[in-house]
Amino acid sequence: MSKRTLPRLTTLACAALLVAGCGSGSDSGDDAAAAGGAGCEAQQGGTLTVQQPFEPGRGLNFLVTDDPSLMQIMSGTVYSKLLEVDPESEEYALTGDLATEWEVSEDGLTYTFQLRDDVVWQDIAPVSGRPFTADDVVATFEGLKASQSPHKWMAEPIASVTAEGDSTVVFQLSQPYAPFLDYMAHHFNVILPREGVEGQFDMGTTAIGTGPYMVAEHTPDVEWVLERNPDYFGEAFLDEIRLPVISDTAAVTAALRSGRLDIATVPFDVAENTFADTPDFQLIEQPSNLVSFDINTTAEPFTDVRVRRAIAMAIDWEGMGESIRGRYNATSLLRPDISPAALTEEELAEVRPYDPEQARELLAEAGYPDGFSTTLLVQQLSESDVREGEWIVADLAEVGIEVEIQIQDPATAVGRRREQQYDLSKAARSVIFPDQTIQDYRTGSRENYAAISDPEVDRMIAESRAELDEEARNEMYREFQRYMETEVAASFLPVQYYQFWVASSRVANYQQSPIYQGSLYADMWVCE
Amino acid sequence: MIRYVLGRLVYGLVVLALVTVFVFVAITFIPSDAVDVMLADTGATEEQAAAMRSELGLDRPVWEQLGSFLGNAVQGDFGRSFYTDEPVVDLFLDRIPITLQLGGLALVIGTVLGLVLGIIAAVRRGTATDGAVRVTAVTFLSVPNFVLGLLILTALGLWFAWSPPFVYRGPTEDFVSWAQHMAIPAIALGTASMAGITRMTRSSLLENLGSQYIRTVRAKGAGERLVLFKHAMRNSVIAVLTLIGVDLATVLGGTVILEQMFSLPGTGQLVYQAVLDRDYPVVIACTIFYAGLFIVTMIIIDLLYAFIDPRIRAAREAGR
Repeated sequence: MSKRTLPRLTTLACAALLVAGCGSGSDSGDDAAAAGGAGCEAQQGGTLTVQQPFEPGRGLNFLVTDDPSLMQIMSGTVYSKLLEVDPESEEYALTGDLATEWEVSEDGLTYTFQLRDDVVWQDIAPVSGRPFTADDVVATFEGLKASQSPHKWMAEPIASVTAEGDSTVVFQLSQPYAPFLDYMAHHFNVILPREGVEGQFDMGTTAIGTGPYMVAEHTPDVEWVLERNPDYFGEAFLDEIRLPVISDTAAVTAALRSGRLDIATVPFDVAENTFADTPDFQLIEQPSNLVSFDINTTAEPFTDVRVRRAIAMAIDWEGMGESIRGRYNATSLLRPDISPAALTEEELAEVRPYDPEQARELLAEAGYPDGFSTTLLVQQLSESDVREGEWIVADLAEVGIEVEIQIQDPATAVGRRREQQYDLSKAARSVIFPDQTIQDYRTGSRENYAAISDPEVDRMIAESRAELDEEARNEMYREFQRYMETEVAASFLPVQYYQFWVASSRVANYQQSPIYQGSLYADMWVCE
Repeated sequence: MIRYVLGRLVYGLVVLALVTVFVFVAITFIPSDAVDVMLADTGATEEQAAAMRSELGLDRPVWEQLGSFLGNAVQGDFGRSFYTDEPVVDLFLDRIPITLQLGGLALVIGTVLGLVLGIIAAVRRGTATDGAVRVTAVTFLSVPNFVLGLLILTALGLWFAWSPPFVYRGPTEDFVSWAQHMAIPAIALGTASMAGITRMTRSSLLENLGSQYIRTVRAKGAGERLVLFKHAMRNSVIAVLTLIGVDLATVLGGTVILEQMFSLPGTGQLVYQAVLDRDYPVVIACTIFYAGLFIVTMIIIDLLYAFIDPRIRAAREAGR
């Protein structure tokens, strides 16, 4: 790929080096200039207009809904978290947001966070700019545990949360829970004011946080307007962030060209054909969701692991990624951009080679020398999904498996996958951290689409959670992926997509993150 | 006449009831529901999903859900959105003005242009102008409205680096922005009706212009203008009016895609999103409102026939 294929780090504009905290060893200058990044010095003021693809559906309360649109608008912008991922570190090391320091006890059961003492809530009644304290953290996580929030499982191992004074908070866990710190940086786990958790105001309609931006205006299905929080504890440059709700690709493309939008996400082909190699725009690639391919282990002939392995080996996943998405990563289960435990391409080739010959042998061994007929459920988010489905059908035909393709809208596909009403299925998943990814394969889990029920899998997940040594845990994750590829061979996340972001050249220091990391807006500015 | 209208209204209500039952039952055949959509990729447990279903009443049998829906609907309560918990009627009323603006503009554009082009083609019958008008009409009749919208949008962006605003401002709030925003979708929606009306106007005018009574009018020494607008046109309008009624359905259907495309927060966009989200109360209510709107329009057009054509009025009054 040419210069426009910028690794995440090099999307920093040269001027980014001026900002405190920017990695000194970064070699980003030249490449950023090639991408047409804005080259002005950091300056206060201005408005940034960013595409907001959808309106959050179910209100604004983080204890009620996990809607991705809500995360996009508010997580990190309006609300802060205890921790944040450091966008400048290669492997997304954790850094403090509201917390300044944190400490884990030897036995892994006690997590102590020191909090910033210079933080006040946004000046909106009834919280009205009072200081943020450890008690708000206590209220948030007690509220989460008592809630029906879809992600309350993340807080399950928390036995108690206590405030020691105003700026120390202690989490006592009921069992060692290694991914705990990761989850504290997850975009779901923002810190809420006690008044909101206790219902003194409705967090479903009013958002009061400690982040760099606050909600100034909102017209449902039309636009969100965020304005700079004058009391923010850090530095923020932009005066205003406008988020018009636009989802249509043609409209987005036209709006970027006319300058009505500064930042938007577009499909690969539009990025390549329209916005690459032009000084007016910067193109940023961000590794994102994964292809989710499942084989229903409760249906014949897929009860036989040999059949399942044969199917996985008969499909040329890399060819599919290359020709349909243009940019991709070959993956097993974990994301290489997030976890060093993700299997490398060489390791993958050992456990799941593309090998139609061996696939045919395995099928013959299992008693299907002439193949069989089956169906493939394809969840359609875009036109590319259909083409991927067709790719799989063609590859399986090569080994004698005749597949009928069924295209379904996202909601239907999710429902049928959960109910195991399919034979083979292809969809996409937006999981991020290793534990979040693998916990779905536990026996009986709702997102365990292949209906895997394997005591060994359950044991490995539990043990990885209890292992506090990072290197040892990563080794467990690698082992887990190998086991899933060879012994289970029912659920695969074989290809990681990229998301393409286009930013106009007036935008400076623009970065993307694998989580919804709204706090990054605070570091951006515009050049007039 | 009043009995005639009442009769039509009763039929209309029967149609509405059938539409409601059909949509309600059809929806239950679609796999997965709002809860599945809400909890996708969150890691929530089966128990949480079940609790949510029972809260929304989705765990009850279909006939029971239908019964309570109909019971409330006759009292004007169409339920609440599963997502925003707002009364569906409010959601609909908030958004319908935008759809009516768009649909109205499209119909006006289509009707005015269609009549003008149709008259020109009929008067200049057989000339190059006539040919050009007919080719234009067939072309616009064949191109789907969203394709036309897409072409205009892309062309303006590519050649003039211009795009309409995508943040809706009402006509009273910011008229220029509103007009810019509405123009492309209204033109895209209107051209199909324009094409149909052009063809209908032309053929029915030609038929009338060739008839005996026009010969008589001309023989009495009337000018061409009088012949055309007073005598021929009046008889052609009935056919055109029927077409406009049918076009209303096409236009309302077209708003679903075009509102989505141009970020217009009307009912079209509301329905589109509600179907994807499985927000059934919204889908059902919007279907009923759309069906009702269509039925009422048809009745109005029916009444206009009688107003325009005394023969129809006389026949109805004599018949009932």
